[in-house]
Amino acid sequence: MISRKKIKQITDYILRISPADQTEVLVFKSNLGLTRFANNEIHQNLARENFSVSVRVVLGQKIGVGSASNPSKEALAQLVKRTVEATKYQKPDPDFKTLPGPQKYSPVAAFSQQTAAFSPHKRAVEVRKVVRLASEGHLSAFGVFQTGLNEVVVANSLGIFAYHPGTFSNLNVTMKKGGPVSPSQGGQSGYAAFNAGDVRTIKTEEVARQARQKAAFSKRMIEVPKGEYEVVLEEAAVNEMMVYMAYLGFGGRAYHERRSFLSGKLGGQVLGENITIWDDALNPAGLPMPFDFEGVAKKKVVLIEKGVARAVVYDHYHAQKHGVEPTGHGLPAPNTLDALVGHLHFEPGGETKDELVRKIKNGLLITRFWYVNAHHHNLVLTGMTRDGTFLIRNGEIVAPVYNLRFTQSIPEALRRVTGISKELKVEESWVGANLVPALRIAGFRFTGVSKL
Amino acid sequence: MKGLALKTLDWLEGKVDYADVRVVEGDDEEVSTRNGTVEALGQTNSLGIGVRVLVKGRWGFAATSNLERKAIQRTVQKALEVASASTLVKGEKTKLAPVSRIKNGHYQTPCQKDPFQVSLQKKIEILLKADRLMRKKGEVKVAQGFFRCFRERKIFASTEGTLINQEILATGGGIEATAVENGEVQNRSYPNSFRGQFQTGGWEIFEKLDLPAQAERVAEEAEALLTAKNCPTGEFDIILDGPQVALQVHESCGHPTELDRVLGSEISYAGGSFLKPEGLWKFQYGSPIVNITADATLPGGLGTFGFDDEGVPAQRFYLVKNGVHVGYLTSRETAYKTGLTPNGTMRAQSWADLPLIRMTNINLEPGSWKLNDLIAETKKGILMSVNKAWSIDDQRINFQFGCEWGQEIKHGKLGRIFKNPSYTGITPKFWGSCDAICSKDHWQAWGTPNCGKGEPSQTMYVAHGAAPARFRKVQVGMMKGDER
Repeated sequence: MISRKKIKQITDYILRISPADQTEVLVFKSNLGLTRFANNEIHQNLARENFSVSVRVVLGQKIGVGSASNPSKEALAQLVKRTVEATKYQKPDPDFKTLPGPQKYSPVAAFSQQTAAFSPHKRAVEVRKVVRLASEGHLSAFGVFQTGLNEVVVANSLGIFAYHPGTFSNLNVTMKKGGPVSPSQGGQSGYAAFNAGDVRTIKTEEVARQARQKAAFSKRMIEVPKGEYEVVLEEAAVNEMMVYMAYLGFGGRAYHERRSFLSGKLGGQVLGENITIWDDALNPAGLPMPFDFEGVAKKKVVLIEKGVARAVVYDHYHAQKHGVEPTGHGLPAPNTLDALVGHLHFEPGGETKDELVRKIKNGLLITRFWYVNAHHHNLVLTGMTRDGTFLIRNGEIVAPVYNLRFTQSIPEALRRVTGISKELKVEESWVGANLVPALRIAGFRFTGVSKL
Repeated sequence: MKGLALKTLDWLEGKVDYADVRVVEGDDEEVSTRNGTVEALGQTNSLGIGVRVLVKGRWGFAATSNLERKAIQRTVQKALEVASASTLVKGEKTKLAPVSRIKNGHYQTPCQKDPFQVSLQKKIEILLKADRLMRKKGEVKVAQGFFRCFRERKIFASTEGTLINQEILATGGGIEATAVENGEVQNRSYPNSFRGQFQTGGWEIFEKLDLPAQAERVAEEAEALLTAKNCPTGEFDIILDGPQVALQVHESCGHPTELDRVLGSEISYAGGSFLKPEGLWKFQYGSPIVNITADATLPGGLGTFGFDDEGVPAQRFYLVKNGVHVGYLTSRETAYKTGLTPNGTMRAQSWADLPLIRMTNINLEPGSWKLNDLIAETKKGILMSVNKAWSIDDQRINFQFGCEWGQEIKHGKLGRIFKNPSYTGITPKFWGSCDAICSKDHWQAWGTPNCGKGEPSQTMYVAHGAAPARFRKVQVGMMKGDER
């Protein structure tokens, strides 16, 4: 871990020597420990530390960015020099007004010393528990146990200095039937995962048992025809949809360029009345963060309220361009994507997952999706089911089925939600963690089967 | 860098079965324009060291960007600690297939003009010129231009006495027009989607693209798609253009021939493969005209280099020959396990990452058709151009792709434009339906700088030599009417 004091020395030095009209410094320091296992063995295992410093300089309305991995004074001076030199060739951006000024940040508790110090030995001990449970069930285990610390600092010449240390941990487990010799033949598998800021909250054996239960389902795998089914999407599957909605739908730039499914529809009914979604990076239940990568304070933003589109999110540049307040969703400069929500929170419902299943006469339980991609700006996604797809008959899970391909408009699916779980689960997003439920959805469209 | 690598190996002496050290410096320059402004002007430098050790048959890896002596010694200790932890879970000891020692290996990407030495002004001018031309069309709401070059200097040193110095340079770019009207959004790109075309080499690659010369066509086509009919649904013969064939090869041949996937290393993330070891030299992957090679020696290919990150020289070999699956991409570890030969495909994204089996240039070898003749010989079909969306299952069996541009083929002639073309299939059945591949004249190595794999996730630069090809009776058009 690098101290706040040491990082401030670096940012102060850069801000002092920079000749630019405005300067922003973004520092990332990361420590990652990751143990990967396959075929009931640890096969990849690493520990790494990384440091990077990025400088955004503003000369009038010209903007340039440079970054480097060496924190020595000589290297930082060289970084500033080359970035300023390059920026002189830039064209003025008439929409750029200024970098953000000083902010007030809400305190968040995101650091766990035990997680930051979790050793390779401890990770291996946890993996051993998973492998033991798999072996007992005559299954093969595959997955990851990882822990880490990310320190993020944003400072600028207008007075921002923001430091955030956040820890994270993740266990994901896939178990498969069949021995380790030829595990890749498809066949029945089960998946479970847990994400947390504090590694002590991971219940390794519970996660492993969840994966084992699905992989060891006693009935043979069957093929069901493509078509529309009522489904229960477990949290990982819902999260895949939400990550794409975040990427393509909730950004302010896409909204104004009329590329978002919400463009021109704020205030209108876009999803079902039972759907409320907000973004809240300050929620301690997720992986909280008090500011974005431009140092703008994070705000809770209600995006969808009872199915009505309420808001989109902005980074500082596009907020200024469109005359609105930034919401704290800026990505590191130079950002060619858009503002991005990374802490979605889905309003929970009132059912358990078992209850969601029990109300289905003929449908499917989906553990997770894989290789999801958007066919269209209006969020028609395609992707595959993976690691636990089951047929439900008269409220009972009766058999595992071959993986299916879906091609489905996600807004349309979220207009047909017939049940929402009361428990939410922390799932990874591209820049944080979402809190999502399991959903029961009518008429979910499957367009193919994965079978040779 | 060389001294650092060798010194680090000294600190490992007597403590490991095997170790290798990579000191890698990466430089990256990116310029992107959007609607008349330079949206991104970025230069990145990254330098660090990665230490991979095999102790008592178990791997450990540690890496740091801090190159002070004490920090590197800490990293060495960490790698040993990680390897020791790996032994806590019982398993077979890892062994490596033998390879020749490379005492003083050297490779440098051939380059006519160093792209880092070309002024930013010049790069910006070219992109903004293309930008202006694209925005002459009223419905083009977003015009984008991209330039990127990156250089990787790396030293590889191993306890087996191999020492290699490489410098790999790549350059590329592209343009994209997005037309918007009445809730319809359509894109057209040149020369490829997702930021364009990339090759190993210098400024000459970007210059040759001549982006401004294509800008008006790209904009016109994006605008034309707004009023085009939706791609029909049904079974059609399809002709895919080079960039789309390249991605088809990437997803449905490149990935499933990675032997680490086949043996289960990627089950938790990237997935497995339907290409079983027992099917090698037997399994009918495609029709007899389908020949697919891996060729890390291809001049200009984005997956071209001198040596992989295990010190194995770049090679060319067949993966599919006359339609039969005949090869895998291998590492030293997977080669030992299977009795195959290491073929130089282990690469890491950076000093901070473990090397994994990665595609090099995975190429569909050219056929003999001229594209015009192929179209003329097709009675009823659809031509699809440039990828827009891609998806394939974790065993690489069931795929679905969307393209930017579709065009009806009727009685041998190109006709109506279709928007939102898509097709789906089962990999061996699809390649089994391939009955025509265009000639060398239409063949090009298409760079893919963003191939993802591994945990933590790594992206790698690879390429696919491809020419337009025809596939018979393919399921086309997957979206419902109200979703289009």
